Amino acid sequence: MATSTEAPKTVTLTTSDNADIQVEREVAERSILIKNLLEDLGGDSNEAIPIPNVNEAVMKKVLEWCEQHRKDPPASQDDDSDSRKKSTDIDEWDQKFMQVDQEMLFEIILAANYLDIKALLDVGCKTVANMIKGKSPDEIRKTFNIQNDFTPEEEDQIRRENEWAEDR
Amino acid sequence: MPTKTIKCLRLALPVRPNPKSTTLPKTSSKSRENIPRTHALNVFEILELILLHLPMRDLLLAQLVCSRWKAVIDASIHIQRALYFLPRTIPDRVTASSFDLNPLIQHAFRRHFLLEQDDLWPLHLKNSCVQYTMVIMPLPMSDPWEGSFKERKASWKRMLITQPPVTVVNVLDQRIAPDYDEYFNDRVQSKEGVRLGDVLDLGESV
Repeated sequence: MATSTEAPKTVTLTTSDNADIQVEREVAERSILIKNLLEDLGGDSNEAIPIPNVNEAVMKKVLEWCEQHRKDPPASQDDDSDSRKKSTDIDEWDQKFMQVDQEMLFEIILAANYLDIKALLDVGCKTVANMIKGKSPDEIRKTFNIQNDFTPEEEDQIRRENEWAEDR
Repeated sequence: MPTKTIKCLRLALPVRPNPKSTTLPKTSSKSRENIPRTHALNVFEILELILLHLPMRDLLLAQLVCSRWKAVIDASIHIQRALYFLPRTIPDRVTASSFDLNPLIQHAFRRHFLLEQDDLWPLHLKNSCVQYTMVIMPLPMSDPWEGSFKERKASWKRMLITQPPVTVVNVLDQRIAPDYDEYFNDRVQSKEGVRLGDVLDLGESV
């Protein structure tokens, strides 16, 4: 970057509840949305960046993750998501980081989706997947408070199509 | 794929009134509404990403959670590929390790037959036409088939045997030729990829 010596090292983010958070630019740029915004504004802007979809508590949590992962290599090209291993392994730090209540977990997922932080979105989704694994459909509904809206006939049909796969 | 979209809409649209909740909720006595959760699970891409991290069996079961989950599973090309219902694209260069055997079939049918990759013998790459051979070897003393396998619409019938899909599968039936490794009883071909239903016929129970 030609203007790197001139560019401010920190940026200010204004959250949905009007809090200003100062953060190192490198950390904030884990978010592709913020990175692109900063690039559009040019290197010398000191304007606060409004983040209208994320509140202060969630933003701080997200930035904690960005700080920890600031040196991670940029996300690999999203070319072949199908051959990707369906591994639900999460590294230790991330596992601890994700030990939050369900509401915060989904707040983080929504924020990562909005801010375009693919790796964080992935960790969040893996965490939810781990909550689903091994559970019966009814247990899954209870975990996420989902209504079963199938007719008994529909439910029976899907069950019969897939009963062979049950573990025994 | 237009048919998929229509299917998805059909499944997603009907709003079934829940007889228990037709009356207005009294104050907020019900357990606290987790709005971010509802919001996140309503985003197609997010639910898709979550489901893509599940092993196949959990993914099949997830169809039973609610009509929306079922609709997302039906409509997502990536999930349909993860379930071996839709073919993955074949990479430009293939080797034996480019092919993943369907792990759920391997596991669920393990008492009935072995599914093996044969050595790389006929492996040709001619204008994207990939030929590959595998051996399905029914075990000499298989368990009797349980009814669930014989279900008319059982989903295993639609499942590809490998991803990306192989176009040729050789079937070796040990009950017929116990020691004859070179002998194949059957050779099943399909340009779109061989599905287990092309190879196995268990008869149908309705």
